[in-house]
Amino acid sequence: MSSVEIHENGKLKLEVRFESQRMVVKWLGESKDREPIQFISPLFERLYQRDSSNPILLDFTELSYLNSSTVTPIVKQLEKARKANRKMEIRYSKSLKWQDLSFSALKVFAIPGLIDINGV
Amino acid sequence: MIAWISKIFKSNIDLDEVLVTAENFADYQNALIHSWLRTLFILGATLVPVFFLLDFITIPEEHISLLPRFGLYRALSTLLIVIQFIVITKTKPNHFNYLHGYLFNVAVSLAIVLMTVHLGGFESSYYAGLNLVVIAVNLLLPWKAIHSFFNGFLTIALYVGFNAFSDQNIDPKVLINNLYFMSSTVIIASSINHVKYILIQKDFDSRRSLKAARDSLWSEMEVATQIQTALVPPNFRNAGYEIATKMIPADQVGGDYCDIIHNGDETWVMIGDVSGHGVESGLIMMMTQTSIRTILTENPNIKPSELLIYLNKVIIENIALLKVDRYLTLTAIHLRKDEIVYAGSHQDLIVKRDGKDKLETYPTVGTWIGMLDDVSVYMQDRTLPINKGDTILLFTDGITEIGFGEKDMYGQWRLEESFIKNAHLSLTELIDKMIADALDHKTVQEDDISLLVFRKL
Repeated sequence: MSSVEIHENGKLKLEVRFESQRMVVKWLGESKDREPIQFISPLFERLYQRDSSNPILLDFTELSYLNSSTVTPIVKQLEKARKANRKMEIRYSKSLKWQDLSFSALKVFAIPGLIDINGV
Repeated sequence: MIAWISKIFKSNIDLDEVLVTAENFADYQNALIHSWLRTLFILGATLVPVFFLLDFITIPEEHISLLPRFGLYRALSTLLIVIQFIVITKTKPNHFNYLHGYLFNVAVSLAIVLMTVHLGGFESSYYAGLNLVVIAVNLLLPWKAIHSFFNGFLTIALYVGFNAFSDQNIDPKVLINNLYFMSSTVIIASSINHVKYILIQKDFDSRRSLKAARDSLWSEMEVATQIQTALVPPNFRNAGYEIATKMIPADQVGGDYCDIIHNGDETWVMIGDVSGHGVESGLIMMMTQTSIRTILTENPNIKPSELLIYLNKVIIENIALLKVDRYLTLTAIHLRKDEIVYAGSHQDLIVKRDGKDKLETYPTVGTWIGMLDDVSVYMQDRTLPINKGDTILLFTDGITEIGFGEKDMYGQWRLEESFIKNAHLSLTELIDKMIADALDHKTVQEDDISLLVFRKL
């Protein structure tokens, strides 16, 4: 049994599902904020308080748009997961040009088995 | 009829604009008085007739015949207020606006004073209405306390003068009582007005300071935008290549970077985009430009991947010193005799081969600058053969993302359509046409637009 939380900031919607073995954060809508870190970082702090150990899936496959300023808080979450030795997967859509361009550049942060960045 | 009335009462003066642009306190105060007079007149034109109801309810039986006369006084007073309202609505703030306050005071006070004369002189409780007038006028109008003082005692003078000469018995105790209350009202209203006047002065000083700070900030932002545009190199042509570029900055300072560097026999082009907007992004773009030019001056034959590895070391240190979270996408391209060598992750390279109808797109690979301490394992050089007449297009996402959010983003495919359609033009015309096509799609430009095209000669 999993519970779902919805968090919104402008046109960006984060659907968080707490499953028994992992936490899934589905990114929906558009992230066009100039300072998205102010919404994303505190939100993840709260999510980590609720689930501090399970693997995390950041699912961007249905996100319509993400500006360059939003990449920074995502990178920060990757770094945080790496330091905490917590499994994190970024899943994006290879068929969307902008997603492929943005997330393939993040593959430098990948550590197989710990930090995975997968285009589907 | 409604339209006609609306036209009469509609102001053609943007008072907010006057308040914002007032250069000195006198102008600011005139604008405030002008603005608040309208409120005073609306209040007067409403309450003066409405108080006729009080006349109707409270008038003693023996004075009932006075009601039409009272109605007339109120009607004349209201008419004068409405005329004043129209005059104020149709005129700009000026140094004589405060006289309307005096006129309003006299018009309303006189009506009340005449009613007190008819209702028993100083014995009439209607003098209380004069206190209301003193309070309304002096608390609403942001003038100096001296005006409140004179205005208040003008009301008292009218009251005393008309009643003293009305041939009625005067009870000194009643007169003293009434004057005591009225004088106290004038003194209190003047005191409050004095405090309010000081607050308004302070408010004006704060506004001026704020406006000066804002103007200064905008001037700096404009300078930053000018520098960003000034750094865009002029079009270039040598024996091997013709190169043209154009940048249209967005409202805010952006972080687009495009450059043409020619050193000895070596020619390079760069295209990139710093994340985010504002002065910080612009600053990082300028650091990037300076660093690249410095490295290429020392070593114009460096591999593009090595150039980016060195650049990354410089930029990541500076980003850390600035304590900002920024990175940049960047592709560096070395234009060689029959090939181009490129490295760094940015947008696709779009190639129109001479005589071909289809475009070739080449994704850029590697990673971004300013994210990792060492990017050496991710940067790799790629080589693309170039023949005479081939044209290559480089762009930033400001053009492809035009119209985003309206479910009809311009997109890379439209840019490619425009490119192939206009590829026969000169490079300058080609760039202008592609930008015009994009802006025809949606005129709202949210990000910098940068295009760079080069053609093998």
